[in-house]
Amino acid sequence: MTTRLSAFRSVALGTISVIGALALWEIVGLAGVSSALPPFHEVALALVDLLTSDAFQESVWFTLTAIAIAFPLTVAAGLILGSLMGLIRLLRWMFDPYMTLALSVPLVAIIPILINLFGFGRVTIIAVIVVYTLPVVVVNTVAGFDSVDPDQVAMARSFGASRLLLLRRVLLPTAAPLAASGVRLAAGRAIKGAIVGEQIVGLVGMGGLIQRFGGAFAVEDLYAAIVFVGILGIVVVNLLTRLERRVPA
Amino acid sequence: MIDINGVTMTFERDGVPFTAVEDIDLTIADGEFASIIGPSGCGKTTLLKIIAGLVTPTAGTVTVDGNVIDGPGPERALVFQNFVLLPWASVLDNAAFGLEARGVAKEERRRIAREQLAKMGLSGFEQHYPRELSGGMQQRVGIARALAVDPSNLLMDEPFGALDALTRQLMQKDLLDLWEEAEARTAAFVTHSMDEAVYLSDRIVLMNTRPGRIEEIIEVPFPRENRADVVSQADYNEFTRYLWSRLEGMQRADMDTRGADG
Repeated sequence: MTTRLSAFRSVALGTISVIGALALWEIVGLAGVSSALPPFHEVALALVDLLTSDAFQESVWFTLTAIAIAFPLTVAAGLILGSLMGLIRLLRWMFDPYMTLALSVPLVAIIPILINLFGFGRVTIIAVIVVYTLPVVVVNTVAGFDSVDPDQVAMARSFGASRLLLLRRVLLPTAAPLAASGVRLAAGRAIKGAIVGEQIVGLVGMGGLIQRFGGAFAVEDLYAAIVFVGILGIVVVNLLTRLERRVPA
Repeated sequence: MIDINGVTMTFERDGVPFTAVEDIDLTIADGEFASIIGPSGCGKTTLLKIIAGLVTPTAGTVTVDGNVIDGPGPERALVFQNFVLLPWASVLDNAAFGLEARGVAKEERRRIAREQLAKMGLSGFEQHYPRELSGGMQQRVGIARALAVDPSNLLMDEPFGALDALTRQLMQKDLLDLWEEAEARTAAFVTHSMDEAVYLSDRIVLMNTRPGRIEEIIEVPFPRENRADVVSQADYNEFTRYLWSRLEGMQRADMDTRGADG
């Protein structure tokens, strides 16, 4: 009962906070503080217009399909690579430096290389998403295997459990929650990667659209597109969080 | 039967060799309940892990039921101090884990696990998860898991050490009752508690520190059948007083040497 009440409270407070921020935005926008900040209602109207425009729908389609192809691919590859690195020390030593590198280096810098390799189309964007998300899934999965309790392993061994049973009954269930939160984090980064990649390419997808709006000083459209991406991010991450809760630990 | 022959275990600790146990000779007969007691650092848990086959000694051999061991085996089962249940598995699946490890078919292992849980007073909790159970109940699952594989040798590492005093007493009594039923079982029971050792055992193995070694092996002079009644008798007090003086002496000597080292 308490949890349900506090869940309701957190939703209510979140809603109030968003409404408050939008109201503040509207007031500051109406006051005409800066031409870079139009009032919220103009952005909302621009968003309604955008949603019905062909160019926008095409861009959204492009970005979503790139994510839909890249994300499952990365999650599968990341979970497998992360599990192997978690289980086999040799592989961990081999791949750890690259994961650390990928998490600390600004990935924007390598996008031009990917453009050189794959051109200005969808393949480049998919590659950018993979590069953005893979390390997060891998590192979290490895951390999951690291959190295995040595006592559990000793227990399984004392009963003569096979390696397969140890994996199935002890190692995988231990690693699963952290691996799942890696997947959730990766979903946010997948959207980020797609938009950033498209902005650099400049021609395709929602990132391209945002780039063009920015270049043309179409401030209302620019904000509308950003708001749309924000909503998309919240929806995707929430969906995955829900899915994560459903998966039995 | 457990036969320990000249077992020594040396670790590297911070680059310095450290002898956990040295030249241990001990035989625990079929059906005997032996407690291993001593100050912390005397190597009693290491010794139990060696018997379990989880740790390979640097020297010496352990023979269990006539075979020299080189790892865990089906004739032994271990009960852990902190229960070590799988939090994501039901009570029933936890109790059945040892059988699953031994490749017993699902229906059969569930039937046996259910039976053992019933003996431990846990009927009706099969579908619960460990976190929903009290510490005492969790350890009952731990014991059911060990007994489910029907080991001729039961190894217990301070199994009641993490429980409150009342639960502890109840568990001791239940374990003893269970023991009466299964005559052929041999037990090695590591404990910190003198009363517990006296209450449960046929023999008490006193271990001392630096290096871990056997100081004395003491027969408990009361029949196991009526331990509960014996607790109030005068000679019981005399016996525990003797045991306490030995333990106290070892503990103080250990503190002195550590003080001198520092």
